[in-house]
Amino acid sequence: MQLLLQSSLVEHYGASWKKVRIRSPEKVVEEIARTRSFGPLQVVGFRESIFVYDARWLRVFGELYRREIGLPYYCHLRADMMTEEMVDLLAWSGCHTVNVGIETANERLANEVLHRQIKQARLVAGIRMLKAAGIVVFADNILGIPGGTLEDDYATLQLNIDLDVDYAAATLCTPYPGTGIAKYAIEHGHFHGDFDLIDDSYYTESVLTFPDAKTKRMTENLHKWFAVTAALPQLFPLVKKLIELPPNDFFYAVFRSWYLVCHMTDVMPRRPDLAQLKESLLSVFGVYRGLDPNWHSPPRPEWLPTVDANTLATAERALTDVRMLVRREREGAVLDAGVHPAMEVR
Amino acid sequence: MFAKKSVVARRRLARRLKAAASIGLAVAAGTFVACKQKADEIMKALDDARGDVGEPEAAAPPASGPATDAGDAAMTTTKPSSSAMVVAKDAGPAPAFDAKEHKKGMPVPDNLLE
Repeated sequence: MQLLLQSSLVEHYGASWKKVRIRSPEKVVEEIARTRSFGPLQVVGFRESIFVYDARWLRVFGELYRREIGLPYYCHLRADMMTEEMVDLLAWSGCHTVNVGIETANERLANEVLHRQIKQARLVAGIRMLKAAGIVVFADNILGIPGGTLEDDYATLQLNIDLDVDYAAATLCTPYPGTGIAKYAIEHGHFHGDFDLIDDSYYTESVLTFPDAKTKRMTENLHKWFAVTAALPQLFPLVKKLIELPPNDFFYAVFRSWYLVCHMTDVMPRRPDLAQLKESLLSVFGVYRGLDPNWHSPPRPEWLPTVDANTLATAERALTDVRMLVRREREGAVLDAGVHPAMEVR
Repeated sequence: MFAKKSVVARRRLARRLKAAASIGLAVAAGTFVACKQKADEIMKALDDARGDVGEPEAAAPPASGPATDAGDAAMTTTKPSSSAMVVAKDAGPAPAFDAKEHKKGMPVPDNLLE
């Protein structure tokens, strides 16, 4: 298992950190059941990078999960680690969607630049098994990888088409500080090293250096068309022409629109309420409720604590009395003693 | 455990139809965003040409009047339950057109699968 872990992770956390920590299926199911007791639950999401390592754990988890929870769930995993037994168990236990990383079709880039330590043939076989089991596949891809070309990105798109993934998510390669890719990009002249220029979104533009402005523009535009072209491959020849155009509002709208439609209908077995649906739809048209990702809907007025005027007045009187009592006691301690305690010592 | 081939094929067809529909939606959205940005630019240029920078908006008076001391402040913020309702309604930023934000992120709340 250690071989699968990226060397950059080991660099970050040191060689002594525990590589894999797995919670028992009983604990996991118990926590979900407790969470469900707080309110309605439609779908369960497991956000750890690799949800399942071995079939034995998954079998026990599946039995418990089916019996106690019985809701669809989604998880992240490495498709190259999948065996037929594991895929069967995933589907049987209620797995609706898996998030897998394809990243790039170029095995050299995957292993030498991204350090994925992966065999492309096993990745492809794993995704085919997941698809054959009827599990929705959400694939992550990276465009504009240092050392790669536009042809590599086309090949990645073609691989997503061939594998018939349900949503082909793409991001623009971004050299975040402290990552192996940043080190590689700086060392090989693909990045100037000014991390302050990195945008807060990896969906907009790339900060990496490209051979020319046209290639950069085409890569960024391809990113906007990537997912929808994977879903509708007939677009591919047209997209190759379209991405030569300057970036524009239509391209961004295409990206957002397909993301919304695909997630609402295929990827997430969760039905949004009307307010969420309206908000999502408006955002495709550039209308936002705000930029703060930590902002959440306010609680309903009836949930807010309310105090009637009489209770409040009583509480305030009681508080004032306590404050006066404390003040008198402090003053009295000095007056009763007659002299300051420090004077007595002397 | 394999899914039926007919089910997989039907799902693929549905995905293609939905992708085509989403492009229709994107054309409408892209047109709106482009027109809105252009309209905003024209309005700004007109305002600049007129030299009309606009009056600063007067601050709205507090709903329960200015507090005179700490005691009053405590009373005005905690006494009536209706003031809590006002706070709840004003808690989030109002929806607004933002072309810059349009180029970031995803339209699904909570980044469900990110």
